[in-house]
Amino acid sequence: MATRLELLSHQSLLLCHDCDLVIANRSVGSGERVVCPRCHAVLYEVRPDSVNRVLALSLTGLMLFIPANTLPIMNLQLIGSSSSNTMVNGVVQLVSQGYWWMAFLVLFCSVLVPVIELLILFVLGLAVKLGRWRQLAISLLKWQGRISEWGMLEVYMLGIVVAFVKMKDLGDLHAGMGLAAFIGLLLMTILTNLCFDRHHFWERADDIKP
Amino acid sequence: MTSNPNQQTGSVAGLLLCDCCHLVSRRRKQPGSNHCPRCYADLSVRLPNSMAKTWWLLAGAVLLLLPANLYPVMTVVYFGKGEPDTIISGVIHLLHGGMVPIALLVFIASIAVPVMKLVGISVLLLTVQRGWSLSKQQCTIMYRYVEFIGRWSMLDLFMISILVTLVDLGEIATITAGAGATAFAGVVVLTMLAASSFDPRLLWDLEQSVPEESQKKNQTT
Repeated sequence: MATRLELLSHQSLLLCHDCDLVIANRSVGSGERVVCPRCHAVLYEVRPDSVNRVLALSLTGLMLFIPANTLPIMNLQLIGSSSSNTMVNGVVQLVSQGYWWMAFLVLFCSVLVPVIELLILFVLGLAVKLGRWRQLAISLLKWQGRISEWGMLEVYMLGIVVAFVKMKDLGDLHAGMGLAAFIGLLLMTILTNLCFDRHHFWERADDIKP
Repeated sequence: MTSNPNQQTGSVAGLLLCDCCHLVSRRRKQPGSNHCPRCYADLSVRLPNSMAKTWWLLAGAVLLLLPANLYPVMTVVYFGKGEPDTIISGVIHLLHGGMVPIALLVFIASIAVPVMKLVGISVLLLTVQRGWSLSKQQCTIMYRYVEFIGRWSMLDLFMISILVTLVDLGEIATITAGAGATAFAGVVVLTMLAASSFDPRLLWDLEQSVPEESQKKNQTT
């Protein structure tokens, strides 16, 4: 067995990241997945036209980022007074109440990571498409893998829903323009991640001439 | 389980998987650290110190779980009146207010998910350490589940950050965060780190060693 393995080149073998099984790589068509036969982990999935789609979707997401973060998401009116919330304001308010650690976590997961991830994917798309900046592309791919788990816009969306239901009996509660921008940003983030073919990007980044 | 002779693992075959870019490379024979030829990341057969790291992160999360549930997470002051709410009393208030689906949602995200994560990761760690003969397939599914649901516990924290600015009406109504929320944020971060520091390949390593030992026994008898 060992001698047979020696003859195979590295790229023709895959290792399952969940159970360490050696799997022979095969050519897969667009939209197909390579699945570990032992633990059923998805090793990779070929996503069609990944680079172009990631570029378009991440750029759209980036354009929505500033309105989503600065326009009011909800507005509450009660006996003549009114107040509204934006994503950034929530963080500022937590800091002013002295909860800096929680404020940092909310800022990190709902503002910083989502925008950094979109920026990374956009620059990555450019680097791969233009075939330039090999070192940059490799570091960006590494950082994307490290931070993407901490982007939690979809959980924030659920937070908005729960806050809305909780407060709707308190006074007049209206959705603001920020909510529309936020939902757009959320959709773009989800779609960018669905179109991002990590395996393909790593191969393309590796092919860029240094 | 490993009756199929074609089922060989990377550690046996002398192959290393890059955790960063998933490139497979051959382990060097000479001593010294291995680096990924594509992305230069440090390579190791299994995540270094996975078990100890996961245990410590888990212990920290269990410690923080107490203050997270005992201290109030937020206080709603309505016309000068109001009392602090803990996670559990918040859920109970929602139930009394007739908002059953939302109460259920908050209960799942803030109580059920953290507890299930702590139990789930403990079971995984004990399975590896004690060699419990649980189905490796099901343990792996549980591991993926634990990794996936962790983020949803942030729901309560996001909701608080929304409410503190949304309900900021001076004398009429205000909402402030509480110390419990800080502790709860710690629980979420530590359990997420614990889940990602656990190496599920350790589960499957058990699968390999069991038949080998039984083969040895068969040979000696």
